[in-house]
Amino acid sequence: ESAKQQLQSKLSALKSYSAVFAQTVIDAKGQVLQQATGKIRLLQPNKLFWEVDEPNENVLIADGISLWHVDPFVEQVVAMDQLAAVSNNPIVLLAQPDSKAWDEYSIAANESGDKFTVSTSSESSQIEQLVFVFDGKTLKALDIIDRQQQTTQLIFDDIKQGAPISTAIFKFSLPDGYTLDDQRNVAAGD
Amino acid sequence: CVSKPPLSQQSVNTLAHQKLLHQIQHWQIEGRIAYLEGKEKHSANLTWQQKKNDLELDLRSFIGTSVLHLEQNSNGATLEMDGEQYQDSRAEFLLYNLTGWHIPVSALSAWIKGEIKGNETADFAKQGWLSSLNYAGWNATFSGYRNVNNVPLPHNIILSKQQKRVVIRINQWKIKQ
Repeated sequence: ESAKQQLQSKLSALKSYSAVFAQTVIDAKGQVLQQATGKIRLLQPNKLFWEVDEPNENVLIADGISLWHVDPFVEQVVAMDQLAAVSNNPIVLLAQPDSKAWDEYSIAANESGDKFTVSTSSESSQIEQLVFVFDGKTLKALDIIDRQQQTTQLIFDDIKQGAPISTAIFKFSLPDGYTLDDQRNVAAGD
Repeated sequence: CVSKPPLSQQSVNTLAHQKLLHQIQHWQIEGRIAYLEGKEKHSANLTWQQKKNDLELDLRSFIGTSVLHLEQNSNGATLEMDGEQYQDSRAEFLLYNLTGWHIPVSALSAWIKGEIKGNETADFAKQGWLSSLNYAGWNATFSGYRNVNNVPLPHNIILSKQQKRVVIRINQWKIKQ
């Protein structure tokens, strides 16, 4: 079984995933630039909720059609087509183990088969590599390395896999007072 | 996670405070920055390290990926963005030419501490620290003063010039001396 198949089967076994995360951003010289915490909810085949806590408050919602980035600091929401957004936002791939967007990525696994390095050569992607770390079936950590060799380390905790998740959390509604920067070309209604 | 010190209750002698701020030559801030012009709104996570006149400025997306990295030292300024590297004499020019963001970077390296360089028209709060200034068409307001190494430093800075606004919210100050 290829590394890609192994990773895709591990990810599709997630079905649903809920966890809190500790995020550390480290620059190419190894300096810690920022630390944050947040939570992730994921419901296959293509729904994702990603929230970063104060003081870096931000929310990303993938409802299966559109990707909504809610930024309270400027009271603005940016909407993008989910499929188009995957290229510079492979986190969304987490929710889509069988999407053909995976073809753009080459995947290598370590011998023990619990660490998968997903790399892309496509110039358009801001992210160069994702490193998934599993403990058995459980997704424990994710590293995101971008083209400036900056690394975001995400360590997950309070992990629940396969448990029911209410879909309400993936429903987006524009907070009042916020402006919408709609970058979707497919004007799909909700 | 980083918790901010409480708002400063201390009041200062303005001149002494300005002198203290001027002596802070090696510092780092981490926070949020927004650039607003007309209907356009841009926002990023920010880390700014300054050592005398050398600066390193990192803008990141909330996922942590780099938006841009800007450096200024004695031999000029470099900006890295989308895998490309650009050079120029001054950080402001590079930032403006490549992003359209009009940010007075070198003046801000003093203003961000609540320090005036000398020829600004400035107002001071009753506590003695800088509350606002005007210079070269820029208006800046300073608030959220909290003690860092028992020096009150601003944590909210808003700069505006015509239709442009730069909003900086500092989550953490680090004084490196």
